[in-house]
Amino acid sequence: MLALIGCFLGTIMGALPGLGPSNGVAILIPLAFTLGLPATPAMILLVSVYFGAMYGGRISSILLNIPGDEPAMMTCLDGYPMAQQGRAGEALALSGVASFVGAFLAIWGLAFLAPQLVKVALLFGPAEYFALYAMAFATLGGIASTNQAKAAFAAMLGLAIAMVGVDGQTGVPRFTFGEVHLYDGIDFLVAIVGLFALSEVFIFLEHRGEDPSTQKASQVGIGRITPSLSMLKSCTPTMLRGSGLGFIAGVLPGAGASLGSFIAYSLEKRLVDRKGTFGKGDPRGVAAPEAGNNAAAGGALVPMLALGVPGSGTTAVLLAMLLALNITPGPLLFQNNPDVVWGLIAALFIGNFMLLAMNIPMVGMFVRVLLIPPRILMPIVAMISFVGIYGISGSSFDLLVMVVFGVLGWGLRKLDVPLVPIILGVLLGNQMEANLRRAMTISDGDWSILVASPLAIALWAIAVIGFVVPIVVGGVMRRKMRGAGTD
Amino acid sequence: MLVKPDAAPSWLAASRLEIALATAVMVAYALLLPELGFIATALAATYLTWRLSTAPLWAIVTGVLTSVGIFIVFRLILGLSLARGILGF
Repeated sequence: MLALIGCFLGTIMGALPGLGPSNGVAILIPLAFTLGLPATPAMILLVSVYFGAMYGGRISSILLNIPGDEPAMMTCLDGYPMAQQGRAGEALALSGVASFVGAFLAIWGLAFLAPQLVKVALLFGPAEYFALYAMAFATLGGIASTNQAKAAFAAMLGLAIAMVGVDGQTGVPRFTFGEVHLYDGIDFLVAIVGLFALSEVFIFLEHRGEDPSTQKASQVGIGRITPSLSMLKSCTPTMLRGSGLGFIAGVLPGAGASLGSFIAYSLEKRLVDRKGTFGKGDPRGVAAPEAGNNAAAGGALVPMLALGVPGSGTTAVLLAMLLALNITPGPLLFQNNPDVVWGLIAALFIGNFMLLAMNIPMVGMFVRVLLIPPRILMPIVAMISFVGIYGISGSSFDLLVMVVFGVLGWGLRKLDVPLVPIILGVLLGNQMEANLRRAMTISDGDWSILVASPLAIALWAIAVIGFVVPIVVGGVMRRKMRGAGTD
Repeated sequence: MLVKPDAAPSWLAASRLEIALATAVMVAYALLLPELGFIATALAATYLTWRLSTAPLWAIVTGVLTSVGIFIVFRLILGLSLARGILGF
């Protein structure tokens, strides 16, 4: 039931341009809390929203040529031309099926790969954990952003925010400016909702003159809604390849769904585009990125559940939710709360079927949702954020902190500073510090313990590669992506 | 954000004022929520809707409806006792 609601809300969130999966999940966190849900149902709700949003992103890509969220960008390339040819319904149905295939395979991957990863993770000591966190920052900042310096700055900012409050080991208040409210530190939920949801409202306020052309949706004919069997058949290998690539991209910390859909599309273009039909409404060009981005969404859950290190922005928000519910993801989660993990995976399976069932016949309804103008939607988003956070904490002070984060998020977005490393810093900062200190205590203050074991050295190496290689290769990749986007 | 590299951001004076005002309204809202409850919600929602270029009258209607909607969801359906203002709702 919750999965059903989650899938439904998620698809809507994904479909609306501007509300992506991270925003959608962030907005619903207060809601899940105020419902007073126990851990498993709360996670099921949010994960359904996450998957629903990944499905929903394609709708506005195909109909309006405006990606509903970032990973759906590649779907525009062939989806919109299909819609222009009056085959929007086919494109929507096909992409629904492709999303299903991608997500379905990724959940199997998750169920098999995560326990294996846990076995490795059980060997980790404090030094290895410290290296792992450093790796997460390096790869997420390195791969996912356009500017490494800005990503590093964002990560440092996040770590600094995590420091606020009374130091757990010595009892010294840090960065509190004598303000009693800050002694407990800054609640990361407040930070996340401010950074994601409120900053979105500010962005819309700023651009209020230029309403995106939502009216177009009603004019594009949808056409037949069921894809023909022959089309599905011709797309099957495409979907399978896209899913595999997407899953791998998702598991790597930082690569995420955008990269998943991008490499799925480019590979497919190189492999099967012999007549130059890609970019002109080739069904395979719709199936590949959709399978890729949904598989990546599932893949990103692997490191989040098994290691406690999120593989993407949205999983970072999900991690926040788990931490807020007093559940620490990581190897111990599989031992102490197997019900949460397997309940979650089971819910993903069910949710995925629901999404497929929901997305084929009800596409017309979701299209109508696109017509809600942001000028009505955005205040609702803002109000839910306020009332929700107030419902959790019951203090005006937290609301003020949230407003500050909203303005901060708006400013940083204008400066193109990625927000995800900040969230990661706020989330992992305390753990990272605790592990560093533990390592120092074990080694009696000898810093060389951080590179003492082969595992730690391997993690540091990945961290360095993940941060440095994109500086070299990233420029080329991005130019290609831009080229593809403007074709 | 992945696609667009460092294009110089535009800091228009008008939009800066817009953000400043919206921030002020949100701060005021944060402080008033415990006192005024859902009246404050309605006021803040009205302001935001109005600034997002809706006609004033419609903004009031939307603001009130938003507030009522949230009241119903959070209070009546979820049964939360939050933000009970001086007027009892």
